[in-house]
Amino acid sequence: MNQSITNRQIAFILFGEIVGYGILGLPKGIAEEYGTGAWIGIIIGTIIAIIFTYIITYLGYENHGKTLYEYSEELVGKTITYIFVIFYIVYLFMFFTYAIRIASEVIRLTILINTPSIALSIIFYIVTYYALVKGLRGIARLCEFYGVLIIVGYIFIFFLISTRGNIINIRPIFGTGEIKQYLKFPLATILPFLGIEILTFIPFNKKKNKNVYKYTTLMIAFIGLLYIIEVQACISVMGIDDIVHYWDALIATVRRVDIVWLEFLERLDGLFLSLWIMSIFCTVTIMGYGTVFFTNKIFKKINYNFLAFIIMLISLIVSQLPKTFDQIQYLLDLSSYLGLIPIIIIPLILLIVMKVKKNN
Amino acid sequence: MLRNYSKILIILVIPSLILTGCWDYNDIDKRSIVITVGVDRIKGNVEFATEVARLVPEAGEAKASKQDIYKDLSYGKTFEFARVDYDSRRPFPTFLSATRVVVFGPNYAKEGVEPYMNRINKMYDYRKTLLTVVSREPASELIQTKVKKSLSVGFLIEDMMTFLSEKGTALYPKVGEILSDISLGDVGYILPYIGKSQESIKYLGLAIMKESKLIDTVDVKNSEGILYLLAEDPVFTEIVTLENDKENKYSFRIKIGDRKIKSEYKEGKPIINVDLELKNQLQYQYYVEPINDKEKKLLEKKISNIVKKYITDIIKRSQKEFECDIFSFAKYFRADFPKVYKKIDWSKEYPEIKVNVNVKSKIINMNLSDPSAKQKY
Amino acid sequence: MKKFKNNKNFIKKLEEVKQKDIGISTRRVVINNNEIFIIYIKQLTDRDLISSSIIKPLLQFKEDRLSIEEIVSSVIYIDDISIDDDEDGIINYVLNGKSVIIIPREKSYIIANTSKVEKRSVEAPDIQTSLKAPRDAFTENFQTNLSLIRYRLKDEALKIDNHIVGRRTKTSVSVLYMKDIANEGYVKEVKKRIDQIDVDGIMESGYVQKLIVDNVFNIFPHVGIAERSDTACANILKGKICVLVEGSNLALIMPQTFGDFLDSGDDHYDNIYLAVFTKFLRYLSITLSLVLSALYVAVVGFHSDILPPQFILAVATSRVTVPVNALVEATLMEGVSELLREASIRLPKQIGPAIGIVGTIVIGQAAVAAGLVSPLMVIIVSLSTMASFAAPDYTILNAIRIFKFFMIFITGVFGLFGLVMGYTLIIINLVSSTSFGVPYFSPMAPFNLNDFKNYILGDINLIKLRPKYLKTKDRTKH
Repeated sequence: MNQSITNRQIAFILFGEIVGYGILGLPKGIAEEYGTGAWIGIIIGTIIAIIFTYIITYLGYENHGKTLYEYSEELVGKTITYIFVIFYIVYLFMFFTYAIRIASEVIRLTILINTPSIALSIIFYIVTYYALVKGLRGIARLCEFYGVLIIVGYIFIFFLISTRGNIINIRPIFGTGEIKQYLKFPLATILPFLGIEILTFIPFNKKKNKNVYKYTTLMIAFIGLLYIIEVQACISVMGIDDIVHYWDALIATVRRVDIVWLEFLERLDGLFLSLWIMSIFCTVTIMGYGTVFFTNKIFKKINYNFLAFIIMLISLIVSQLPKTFDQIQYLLDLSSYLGLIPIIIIPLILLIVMKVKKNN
Repeated sequence: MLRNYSKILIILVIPSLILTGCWDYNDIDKRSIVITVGVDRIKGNVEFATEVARLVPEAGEAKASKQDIYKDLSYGKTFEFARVDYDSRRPFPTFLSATRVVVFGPNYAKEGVEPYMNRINKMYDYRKTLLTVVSREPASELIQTKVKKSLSVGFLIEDMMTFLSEKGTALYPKVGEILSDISLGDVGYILPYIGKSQESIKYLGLAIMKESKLIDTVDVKNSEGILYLLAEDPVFTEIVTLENDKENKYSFRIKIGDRKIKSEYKEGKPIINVDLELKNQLQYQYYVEPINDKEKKLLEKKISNIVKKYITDIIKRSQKEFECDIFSFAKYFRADFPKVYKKIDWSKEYPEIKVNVNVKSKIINMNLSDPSAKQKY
Repeated sequence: MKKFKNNKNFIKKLEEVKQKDIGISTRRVVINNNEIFIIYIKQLTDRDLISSSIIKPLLQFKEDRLSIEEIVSSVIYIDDISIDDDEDGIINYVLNGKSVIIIPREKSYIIANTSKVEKRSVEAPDIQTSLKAPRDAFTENFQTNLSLIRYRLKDEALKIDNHIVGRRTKTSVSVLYMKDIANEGYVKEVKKRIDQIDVDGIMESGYVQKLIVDNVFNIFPHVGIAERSDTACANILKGKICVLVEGSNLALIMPQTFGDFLDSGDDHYDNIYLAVFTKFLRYLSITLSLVLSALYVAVVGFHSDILPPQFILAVATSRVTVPVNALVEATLMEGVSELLREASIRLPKQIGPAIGIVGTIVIGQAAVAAGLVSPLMVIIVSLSTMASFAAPDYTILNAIRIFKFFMIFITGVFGLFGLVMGYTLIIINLVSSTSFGVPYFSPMAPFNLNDFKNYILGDINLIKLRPKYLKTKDRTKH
């Protein structure tokens, strides 16, 4: 399934993938580390993410029409590639499984109190499966369309939230002003950008995707900006002391805001949760596609649709294994840390090998 | 092939989900819509006094019934037991999203309202933007009042407070804001204080909450100092006289042009500087008399003195009497000196800190009248 | 091709044909002892024409020698005339309304086009009505339809490719496109699919439409219909392909995207602001008719808390007397409104208005008065039904009508989550399908700024280029 897609679609896939579940807890995570200087932390994270996005884009772009599986095989040989790919599969599988589960849990805790989360998960899986069967192009178009809606919706919501905020809450702008604070490099800053590894399974076309660097890096920068707006808006409403208590900091903030002049939309919960479910869905679909795609590279004989079905089924079973919210959170964190390998270490290895081979 | 079963499986799963589903489905008219909640402590028990919308079709009438409410009380050792007692009286499951006001009775307010604030925060269907007030009478008495001005006590309180806070003569603190203050720890906060008067509800002033406990109240007549510092876009009316003519009074409409709170840290002591810029508009004079520029300046000065006195009085009171930072000066100090703030214990430091109040006022217009016009020509 | 072995075969064939009992008439003319047979079907031919233009000149002809060529060139008056020698073809020609003239001993026969079909005159459109547009709709007559298009597009590049489809009906199907505009790939694809049709009969263009789409189980239509000739021509000019089917008054337009279904032709020359406004209105209405009832279920049954308090009380009070829950109420009311719509299509014109009265008074007024449904529900159902009439091409609505119920059910189970998921399912279907290779949801996804701008503004002054997604050979319009 070699389907080339447009630059715009690549950028929006990146957006759909990165902005997902993480946006809920982001204000808490960053505020815990940086206090009111949270935006500095995000900028640091954005810069790091841009560097690695550039590396992965470079790898994909230089290896015209190939995905990680093919170019890694050329660079480091078959055995290591297998190990790499298995890393990717495990990481993507775990992440998308527990992303679905935790999204179901959050939905259950916030809007559907009595609905069993497995029912929500099943709906997620069915719709995801339907999207997966449509292939990369279908997913890309979905992300392109939803991406615009999500961006517009989020900016609208963040803007409305910030109108209800209080400037004194985001001061001191530079946190406590200790240099030490900025120098430490907490993972909390890079974890919100997990998802750039999807660029490894999108084949780039050298002719069609000429300006792809511009698109991917600018999209990451934009996501960084969106995060800054989000975090500042949340802190300005909740205050730095309160916000650190909420795993669902964004939902908690949205619930504290009433926009009287919007009448029917006075409460933003409904709008926000719809957008959030949409963005979760984009994340899950792309991750699921990645899992199926890499698995398909290993089991070449199995039909793609059937493989997708099998993986969905296994994922559904695995997602129901953890019993408590903490366990899910733990597994999700674990898979996030695991994610550092495919987005930082593997691309770096490949880059170095590629450079060395070129020079020879 | 097994492959073909996938579609069949999905087709089977969806209807079975739909058939067994509707876990959360509950029509709005099959829920008890709570409009007002009163929380109080009576003889060691928690008391919930509530107003609930009555959604019963009127007998014999086919049309949808008009809005109506009923009131009742329930008791329990804790909120949870009270809730059990409360639910046992309900025809339908409780629905709290339409709740307008939470009223804290004086007994409960003195004991500390933080637990209930946290309950509001974490209860799934409570709005985080609802209004909380403290009542002079026990909550049950206040809620049992038969008001004629509105459908229910809750509606009346909310409408009243919305109108007053828009005018700038009262504060409308939302639960969300109070929760932020509580989590900051070092500051107190202010809730509206209401009471029963002439078989109806009246706004009495402000309730001072220190560590979420009611410690004192400020009468509406003395609350101007607080409002000058905290109200959003308030409009005040002040009356000023000049020395040479005590009879003639000048009525001014005063708006706040600029309110700046800055902090300093000198010699190990925090200093708070409050700068107020007032914009005054002469509404009318009791007797029309010419005003010259000198008098104008004098009037401006008088207004600033009056306002300054209000503010310094209340700040002094907060330092000496309440010993509680109800103006959230802590936030401003922290914004400027985060490191210092970490070291000191603000709540202990507060009664001692120096607060400089600086009020500038300017008469910006005379309401289109010219009292010094040439009358004889 | 089978040749005549000798002349007798041909008389035999004549006898054979006559015995088939399909109403063939034979007229025998004798001139100078030479026999000539004219074969035709009375019902399909213009008998005056046969008498005056074939029989009369033949009888007046006095020469001895009679060769086929001479008869064709100097005796018969008919304009459309040809010569063939395939003896099996005779029956087909006769069935097509032509007259076959057979002269014994000759090696070939003459075919004269004397067909006459009962047809109605060109009338105003019924389903694609518009205020400011030409009113010449297609008729069931194939030639009339072709002439209407030819009359509007006087360009030599307009290609008309004829295909015969249907084993038994032998219906003519024409593929019309601009040779120097339309993308060859799409044209080839359309022609291929038409050639691949293997069915006994084609009664209507809908048959062709069903048989050539990408996926049989598509819920959304992927082929547009044009009832007015100007719509068809505008689409051909845009670079699309038009298919005319004999005996159908609806032309098919392909490839057709989702946006095209909501684009009325007169938008392009109407007031530009109005065009943008109405386009927005149409999208709003299609969304409303899809989600409004579902949203009602979600708000009443699940998330009443997203409404402001005063609305919560108002909704609750309005529903007090209703005995059923909102899910059943919505399903029932939408069902009733669908029933009314279906009934009003089938009803004879004379009693049509009656159904309107029954619908509004009985269902609306009485049901509310009796407390069976809430007034709000009646408003919602009428709004969503009204909204569903706003699209210029009604075929897109059939999909929406089905999805509406799907959305009500999934929302009834999962509330807002179900609503979003249902919507997502529909969007996935929309974005991932293609109409003859063109992404169905373009120009929104894949996005193209210029196409999107042209689509939204839709003013002929501003549309300088043809849409990119159609991949036309010539992109410039002006």
